[in-house]
Amino acid sequence: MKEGNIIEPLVEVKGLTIEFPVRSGLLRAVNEADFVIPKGKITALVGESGSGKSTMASAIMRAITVPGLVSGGSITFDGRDVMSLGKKELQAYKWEQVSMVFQAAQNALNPVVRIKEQIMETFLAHARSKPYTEKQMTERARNLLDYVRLDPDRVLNSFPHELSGGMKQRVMIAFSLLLDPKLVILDEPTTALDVITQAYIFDILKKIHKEMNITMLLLTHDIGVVAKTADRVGVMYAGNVVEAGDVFDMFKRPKHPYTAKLMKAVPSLYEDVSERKGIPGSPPDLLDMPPGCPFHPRCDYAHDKCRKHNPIKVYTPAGHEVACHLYPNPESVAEVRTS
Amino acid sequence: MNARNLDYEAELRQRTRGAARTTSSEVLMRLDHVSMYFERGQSMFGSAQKVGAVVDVNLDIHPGEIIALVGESGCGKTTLGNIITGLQKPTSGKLLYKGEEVPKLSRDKANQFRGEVQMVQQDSYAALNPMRTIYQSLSAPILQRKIVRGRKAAKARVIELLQTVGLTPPERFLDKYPHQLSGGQRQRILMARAISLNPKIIVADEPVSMIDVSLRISILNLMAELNRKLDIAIIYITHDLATARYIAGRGRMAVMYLGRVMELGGVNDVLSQPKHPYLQALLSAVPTPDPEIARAMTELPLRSLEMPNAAKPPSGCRFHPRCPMASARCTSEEPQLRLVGSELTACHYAEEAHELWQRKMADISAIKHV
Repeated sequence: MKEGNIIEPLVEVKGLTIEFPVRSGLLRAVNEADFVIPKGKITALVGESGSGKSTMASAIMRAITVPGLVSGGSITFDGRDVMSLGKKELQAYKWEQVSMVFQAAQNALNPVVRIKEQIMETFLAHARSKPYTEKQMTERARNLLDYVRLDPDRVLNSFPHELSGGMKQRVMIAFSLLLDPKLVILDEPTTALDVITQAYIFDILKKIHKEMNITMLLLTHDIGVVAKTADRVGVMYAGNVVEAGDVFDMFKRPKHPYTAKLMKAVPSLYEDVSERKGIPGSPPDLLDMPPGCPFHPRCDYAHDKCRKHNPIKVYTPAGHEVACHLYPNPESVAEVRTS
Repeated sequence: MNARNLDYEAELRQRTRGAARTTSSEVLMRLDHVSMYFERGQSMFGSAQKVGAVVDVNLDIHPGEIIALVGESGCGKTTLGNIITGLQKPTSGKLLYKGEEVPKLSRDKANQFRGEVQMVQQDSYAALNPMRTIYQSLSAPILQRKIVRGRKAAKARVIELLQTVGLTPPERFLDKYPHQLSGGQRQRILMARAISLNPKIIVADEPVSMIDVSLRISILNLMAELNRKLDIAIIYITHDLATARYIAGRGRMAVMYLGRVMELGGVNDVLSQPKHPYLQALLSAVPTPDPEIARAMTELPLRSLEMPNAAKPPSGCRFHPRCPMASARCTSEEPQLRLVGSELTACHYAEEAHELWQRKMADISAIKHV
């Protein structure tokens, strides 16, 4: 943490629990998770599939739908309680406050509608606080497409199938910026794309972040992408954020054994290959969670306490948080979340 | 950086000696000027377009070696994999297996070829019959090919195979259906199926791209182990340079672009001493799991992001419209693979490009060690 030991939160998630009833029981996709998205930063949320990162992001968007149920906890966005927004407020909250870039851009765009009409539709559905004329809408769309380095003339009149994967993803990014949101959630924005396209898209995203001062939440399982783009990292495991902190800290001195193993599990182009190791075992079955710390069956440091009690998260003054019995230290806990 | 240069020189010396040894050993499979053109857009008007998916590839596969075929989507790596397994017949060039042309093999030998060259697919769910149990899927090929006779022997062999690929206790998996297994476990089943016919070559097409990060390495380790213990040559097809480096550390790597091999050499040489500007761009684009290095690699050494149309490849060098080093020569004269340092590179300016890269890497390692 070089600057800003004090984190000013844009989004605060507290004790969030999200459940899905399935045939064999109640599945807790997110389990009493605490998480903060600091204002003006790029925060990355990493974790294996099924760790709950997408579900938590959907909850921030208020996009958990039946049969999913937010059964506990609170989400505060810029001081407002997200869970209690009414229908009208919600329409303005979505896209004017928070927007999302979905994982597979090719599926997020309507295949039979031209890009231009899809953009207009978004304006009409969500621009609540400020009405736009058609001319203004087109102008804004053109500017944003130009900003993500696309040719507006060509793209606006195209159908999605006429664009390449990387172009579609950039259209989605332009889409997410239409109404000038405070937070953009990026759900695996580059998984289906080639590395060169991926690098290019992250260049654009970093530029947007810097120039428009937009807070970003990046959901990914690619540790390399995190190292390159994020300011802050949260690590999710079995529905909980088990560690969070500054990106340099997290890579240099990971505290949670899961984080440490995750960092070592990715093959690198530069480091010694022999240091790389997979994580033994497999992620826990969310319907049959082990007692105590959910990571203990795969953890080298597991002891009796881990098998019985789920660790409580501790917060350091430098903005690092970790939930592991190796760090029971309450002295180092400082209230960094409410400044 | 000095220490690194010394390391490199030592390695180079070692490798040139090593190269002499491998060429003298027998060649299991040879691709001789292999090209694959697809025709598309045939209509009443105008003639069909020819799309070169694989263009003039020469490659020798030696017993027990690992070759990584890398490149972006559409570069022809999967088509090349299909040619190696005999699934697609090249439109020109020859595919030789143990010295004989594959399409001309006698019935017995063709049968043997199909058994000895196996494939591991990317999507393990699609590659297994959802209506069959694991035992049924694994016992069918060995019974059909009479590798074992009788149900008892088949069961024993299937159990042995499951153990080899690290699925223990094996009895628990016999009666399971594919949907009851995780992605990593299904990928292991595919490995078991591939090795069940005692192959000499396994072509693995993106075997880990659909598996969680935390489990990828264990699958790669399994493949490396099969390669070592059973002496199976592995053709590892991927877009992920880091996993290619991981599995093929001592093997070779071929980097493809628009159907052509642009660089070919020992994996460590190719990755640490890249000569071709395309490979350098690719390497710069890979996010490194180290915030300091990752942030130092900012700009992509590319003039254009757009991949040219494979049906109308650019004149001269296929990479020239995107290449920061391109000159007039590159637009007219197609570079052929030539030996630069210890690898083969298809670039007119490989020496200059290599020097630029070394300077860039020196800058980055300086950042790292400040």
